[in-house]
Amino acid sequence: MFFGAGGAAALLLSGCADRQNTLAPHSSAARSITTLWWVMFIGSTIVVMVVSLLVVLAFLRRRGSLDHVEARGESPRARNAVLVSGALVPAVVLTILFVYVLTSVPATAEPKPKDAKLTIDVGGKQWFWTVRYPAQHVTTANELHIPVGVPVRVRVHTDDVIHSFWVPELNRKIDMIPGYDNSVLLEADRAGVYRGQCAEFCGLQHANMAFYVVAEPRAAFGRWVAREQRPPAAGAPGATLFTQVGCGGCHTIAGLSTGTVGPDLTHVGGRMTLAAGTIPQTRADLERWIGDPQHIKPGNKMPALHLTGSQIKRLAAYLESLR
Amino acid sequence: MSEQLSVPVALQRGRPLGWWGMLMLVATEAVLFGSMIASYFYLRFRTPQWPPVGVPEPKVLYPVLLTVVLVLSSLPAAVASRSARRGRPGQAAWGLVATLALASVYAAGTSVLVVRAWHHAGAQRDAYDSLFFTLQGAHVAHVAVGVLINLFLVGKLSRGRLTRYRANGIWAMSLYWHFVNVLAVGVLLTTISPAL
Amino acid sequence: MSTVVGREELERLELLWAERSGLKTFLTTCDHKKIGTRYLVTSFVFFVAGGVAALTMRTQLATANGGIVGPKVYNELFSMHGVTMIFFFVTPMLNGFGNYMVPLQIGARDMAFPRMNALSYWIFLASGLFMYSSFLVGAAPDDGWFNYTPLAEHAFTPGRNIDFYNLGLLFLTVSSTVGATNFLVTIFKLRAPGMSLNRIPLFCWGIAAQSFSLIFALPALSAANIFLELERRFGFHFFDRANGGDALLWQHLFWIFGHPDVYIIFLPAVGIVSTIVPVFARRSMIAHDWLALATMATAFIGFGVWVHHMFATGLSNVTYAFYSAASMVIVIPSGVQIFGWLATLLKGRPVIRSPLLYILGFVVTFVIGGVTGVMFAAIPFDQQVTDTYFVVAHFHYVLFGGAVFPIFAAIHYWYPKLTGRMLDERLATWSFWTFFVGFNLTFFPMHVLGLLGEPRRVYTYHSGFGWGIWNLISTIGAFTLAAGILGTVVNVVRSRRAGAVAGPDPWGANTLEWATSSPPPEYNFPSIPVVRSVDPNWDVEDRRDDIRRLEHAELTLTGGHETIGTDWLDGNIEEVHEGPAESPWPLLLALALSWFFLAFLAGHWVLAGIGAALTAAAVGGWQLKEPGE
Repeated sequence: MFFGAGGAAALLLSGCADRQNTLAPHSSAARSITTLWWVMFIGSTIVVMVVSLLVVLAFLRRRGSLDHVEARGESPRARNAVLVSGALVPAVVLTILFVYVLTSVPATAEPKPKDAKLTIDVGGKQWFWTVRYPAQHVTTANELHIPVGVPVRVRVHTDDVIHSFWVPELNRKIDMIPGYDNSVLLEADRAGVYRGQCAEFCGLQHANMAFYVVAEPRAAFGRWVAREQRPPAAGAPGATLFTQVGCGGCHTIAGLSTGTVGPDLTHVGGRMTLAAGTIPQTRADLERWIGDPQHIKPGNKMPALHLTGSQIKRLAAYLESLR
Repeated sequence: MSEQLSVPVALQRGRPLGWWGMLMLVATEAVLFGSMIASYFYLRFRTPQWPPVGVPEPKVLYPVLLTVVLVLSSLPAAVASRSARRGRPGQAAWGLVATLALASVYAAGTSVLVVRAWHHAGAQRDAYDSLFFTLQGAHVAHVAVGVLINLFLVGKLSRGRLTRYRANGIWAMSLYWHFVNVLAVGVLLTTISPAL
Repeated sequence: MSTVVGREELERLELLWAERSGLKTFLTTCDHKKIGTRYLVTSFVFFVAGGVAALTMRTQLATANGGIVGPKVYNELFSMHGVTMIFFFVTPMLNGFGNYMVPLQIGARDMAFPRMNALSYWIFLASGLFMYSSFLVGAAPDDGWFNYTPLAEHAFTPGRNIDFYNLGLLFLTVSSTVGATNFLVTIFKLRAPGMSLNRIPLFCWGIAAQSFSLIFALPALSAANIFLELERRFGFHFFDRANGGDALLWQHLFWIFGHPDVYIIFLPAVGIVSTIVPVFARRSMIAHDWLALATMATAFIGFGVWVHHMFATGLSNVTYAFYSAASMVIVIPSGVQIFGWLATLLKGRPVIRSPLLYILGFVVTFVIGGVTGVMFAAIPFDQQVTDTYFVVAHFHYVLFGGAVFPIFAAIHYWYPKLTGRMLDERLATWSFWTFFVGFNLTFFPMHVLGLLGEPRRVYTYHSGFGWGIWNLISTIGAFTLAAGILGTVVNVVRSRRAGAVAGPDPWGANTLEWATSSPPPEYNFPSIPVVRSVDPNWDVEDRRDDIRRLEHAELTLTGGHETIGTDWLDGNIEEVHEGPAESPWPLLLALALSWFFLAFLAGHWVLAGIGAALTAAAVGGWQLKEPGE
């Protein structure tokens, strides 16, 4: 219930869900990366302090003069100091770091197909995300739901340009490259809403290509899946208008249309945001979007439709009813 | 006070600056072709079917023969370079002419083969075709440039003396020809590799 | 001049080398000092252009949902900012210093190929104008400076944007390749007698390492540019999966060039640091030979790390482990260099002047950039923060810190040599601190923004992420940095007339450019210096010997436009080289090539063919007048 559209929108507006903070990890994978960061941060601070100290020391000594050359030629002791501090010490430190890095790689690795309790196929398209749950026969867009504490294998793909699937608080990013089958692990250790954003420049609206990952207890997740599996009621008012205006040419609504240029709208009313995280899912925003999508997300693939106010209202009401 | 101030002098003169410049040019062009050849094999080993279905395997006999002809041109090129450095303009000119004749045979023959293959296939079809034509085209272009430069050098020799500057130029061009000929073997082996 | 012989030699040199001022000389000069100055001025203009793009972006991003520019313009701005700064500012600026100083530092009268030197400048200018003309038609490159496919393919960027990118870079590559060849042959064959390999100044080592890297790295980029252009124009296939291609092929080719490119930028810059540190520490450089070795080692290892730009692309962990290790190994030579400089300062008696301030700024900022670089070698951390503002912070710390600070140090250090005047120290000091504070205010917050999850290359962002405050600080920093740069520009312009007279050696420096007047005469040195140590200008007796040789007409080379050639290892004299004076052919060849590239861009194949023919004709014309004729 808490994760109905209204609750989600409230979450959004309160700012709790608008975080992509790599230093606030909510999975063991993200936590291992954050720990790695803090270790390297401390080491780096020490290095910078030492070098800065040496610079300061150089100037605490007696100053020279441009008319006089202080010393010519080499200094064997200084040469050795250079070798030790510039080559030997870094070599030792970096070797230790390298070993630590190698041991931390498995923590972020995706589960093998046979170990994955849940598999989700996410596709990147300019500029939104297609989402499919193959085993559950669920298709949606721009929002993933996962059960808490379950390792999920997210398989990513794309047919247009390179995108990158990234939920900072849950794990590293993985590029979506045409012709490549990449995967990433998503496992949230507590319920919450986690924001992700495309992390490989993909054209005009790269900046507005975001998505949400909703981690919820198993029962709630099961209920969400059931809702998504249910086809929309036939004969809903507004469905005819949807087809008449031509929306179905780009958008799929189960039982009504099969367009794939834009996101699947079968259960759009149940999602937290519209246009891949660009605007919240409210009636007013939905009407604004249908009325003038180019104003909100200039260059996106939805053209201006030049509808009347009443048509916009009826379409928005219809779409909002698709939960 | 006219004491001899010590100045270190070498025992012999080195290669001309132009030769070193040509060496740098040859190095960079070698890496250019290396990049293209590496791209060929990179794509080849990512594709299960290479050449793709419907594309015939590359011809072997004529390309090999033509490459042998081209590689032979290293001999007159070396002769031209040696003769020029020894102050024999006539021999140098004949060396240049023989080099460009052999190279022209290669260029003409390869162009005929490539144009025929183009009409059969057309580069629009696949990465296999694209790499084949790009590699061949780039190599023939390098041979053509060499032929033009050789013609220019022959022209200069026929209208004037064999100066040190011109001898250095012929020396540098012989390096260019050796490079082009080694490259020819590399390009050949790459483009016929599916048939091997 | 005390003797008749000496005076007569000087007169002969004047006659042989003097260039009259005027338009004809302007267009036909092959004098490395004039060409070097042009490189410096032209690069700085591009710096300002790239900086304006940056300030526009920072203004847009200062607040959430900024409305200064829309996505189309923003994407062109960030792409051209990168292309400009890397290809048209920082590398040519360093080459400008190289052009001016390398012949002087090695005791030569000019570069090995003076006309090629002029050619590389004209092509640099032409390719820069070519690239910028894209703005005039509203089609500037807009897929980022590394231009990944498939986005850069015709299907997704149908406009001319990427054709400008491919052709502009191919055009510029001619300039860079010619320049690299010139520097290598000059440094290895034209040094003063006695300047053995271990006595080559570290700035020249930096330029040599850069030049080797250019020779071996540029072709990978050219192959990528050629492939993409063939794909866009003629329907070839290299990068699209559907037809047997591979999107990652572009990334491999690009980064095989792209990573060495950062060392192409970095190595001459640290050569500048190695030039300035001994002078202001008042002692010879500690471990000079190791620093030279470290320079070449960095260039070499730099070819083996490129996959660290691709840690998020899903390749195997075994592959990633290798490149992670290589990316850590490359830290070692840089560590040797940093401690070499610190040791020299600690064992010397430092004198603080504006050049040294910028060097100290470099040390701090480069080390910060270096440690974040090590962080990026840690694969999982890279996979978290790559493509965010954290990497933007990293590379600005290493590139700005590692190259722009040394460039500003070089401006302050070599200004007296170029102009004969000193810069105003007070204004320089104020400008430095504004510059340093502004730089850190701009780029330090970007580390935080990356950790907070702000991706790079976004034209806008929503409020509520906590990004606004850091973005605002960064924008304030950017304008502060601009003010610091402006201060230096004002200083440079004003001091041409108002600066104190410098004399030949105002810094008491150790390298040969300070052994001649400021600015140097056309022929650089009246008699070619003979070198017997790594700090030749501190060998007072040797420099007196140069004058004695002039008075005996020895090593004055007054037979023509001559300089001395020595062997690459020991610096023993091999022969005297005669070089060309002024020539119109470099400019004509650059114009012919411009014709070719413009015609190709527009798709006029006949015109392009004519351009190719004109190019061939210009090459022929170039060879018509041989030296000595």
